[in-house]
Amino acid sequence: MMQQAAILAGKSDDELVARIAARDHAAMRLAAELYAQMAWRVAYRMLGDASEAEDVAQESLLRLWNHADRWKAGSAGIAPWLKKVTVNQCLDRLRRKRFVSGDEAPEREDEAPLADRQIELSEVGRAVKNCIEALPDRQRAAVILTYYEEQQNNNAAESLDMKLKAFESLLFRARASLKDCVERKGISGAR
Amino acid sequence: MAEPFFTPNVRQALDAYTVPPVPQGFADGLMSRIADGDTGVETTSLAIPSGSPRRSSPWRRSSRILGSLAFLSLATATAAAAGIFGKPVYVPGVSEALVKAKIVEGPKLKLPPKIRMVADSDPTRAPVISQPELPGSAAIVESVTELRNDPEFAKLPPRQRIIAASREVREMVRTGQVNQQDVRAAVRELVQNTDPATKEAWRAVATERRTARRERMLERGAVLQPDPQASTPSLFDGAEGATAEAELPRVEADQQSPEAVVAQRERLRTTTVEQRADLRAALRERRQLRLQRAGQ
Repeated sequence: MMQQAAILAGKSDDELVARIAARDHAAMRLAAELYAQMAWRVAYRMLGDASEAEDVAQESLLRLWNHADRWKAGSAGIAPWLKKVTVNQCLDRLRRKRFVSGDEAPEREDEAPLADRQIELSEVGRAVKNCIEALPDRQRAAVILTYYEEQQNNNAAESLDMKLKAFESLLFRARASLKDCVERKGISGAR
Repeated sequence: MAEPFFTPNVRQALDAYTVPPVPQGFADGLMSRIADGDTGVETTSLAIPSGSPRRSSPWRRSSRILGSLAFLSLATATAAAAGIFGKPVYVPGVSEALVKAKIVEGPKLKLPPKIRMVADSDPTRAPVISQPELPGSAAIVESVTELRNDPEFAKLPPRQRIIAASREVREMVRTGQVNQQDVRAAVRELVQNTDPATKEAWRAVATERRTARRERMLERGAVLQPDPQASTPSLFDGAEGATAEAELPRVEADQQSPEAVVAQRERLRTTTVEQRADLRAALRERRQLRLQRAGQ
């Protein structure tokens, strides 16, 4: 198994997906090891919950398994595709949550993390997390994709199925809100 | 994470929001799900509720209501025009569309009345056949003939008969049954169908009228004579007035024959505008004097 993974590691995304499409479990495991962290990171920042983030990351990778046969060779690669899938799944979850609660997504400030997944965040990190979670869903996604995932605006806009101009406008509002929140809370990275 | 939008302090704060590593056994869990065949991405813990509890925007709601009302109105109008509720009702626009689509029949055209020949006393005379392109004239002829045959109409004086017939024809024109061309054609036809005795009577009446008109004109012409009993100085007094008087036409008492009247009329026609104005002023003055005298 490890030998197979080593062989696959040198292959391109297209080859890897082709192997996944051929129902190669080793290829899928390799893809999970390569991209699980990225999917988890995006989901965690989007949802702010470790359990849900893990669920979303798994769902995203399972989509790769399910849709590998429809993969278009020569596309941008697995990472951008997986980011798009993850972000959209997160947006869906946030929307569904709001439907179920019938209200805006609650502030997660008071929500204690699960004991087994307790994350030791610094005071600053927690404050920033709250600020990001206070943003509207799509603004949050825009900030996460461009700032934390360092995506270009056009790629991020594509991930959110938006026109570039609309995305730039959204990003501008998101940055302004985030900056305002961070400055209002007097958060400083030095603390 | 270079972000020119954020200040270094803000960037530092944002960078402090770190994400923990992927939970242990993530890949194993994923692979076990694949092995178990639990790959259905649709079967999530939070299923999309079938009915969205979110209210649509007021604009959308209003447009839906208005759209439904408009659709209902149109459907009702179409049904009424198509005769679903009984007799078809004329609905502007809808009825025309239905007629075009041959769903309902169009309004039946008003057929011209049947042509009946005027009862003719002279069997040798060929009947006048109305022109086929003018069916309306036949309707007028028929109407007038009916009137003529009416004994009450025959009792009326000629003038009243003309008024009654004219009223009848005007009504037909007003209702669109006939047009002016039909009227002209009908008049021609009626004149042609009239028997010679009536025509002769018409001619006699016309001559009488002409004579009466001529007499009235002669009476008017007599007014042009200067009134010798006028106490006020005439407009024609003086050198200028004398000249004007000499040039102005006059109607002498012994010149009131038809020839003289014609000559007088010709002279009046050839006078200048200024002369006519002077004449009118003089006539007005004399009329006033006459009235004053009559008042006294």
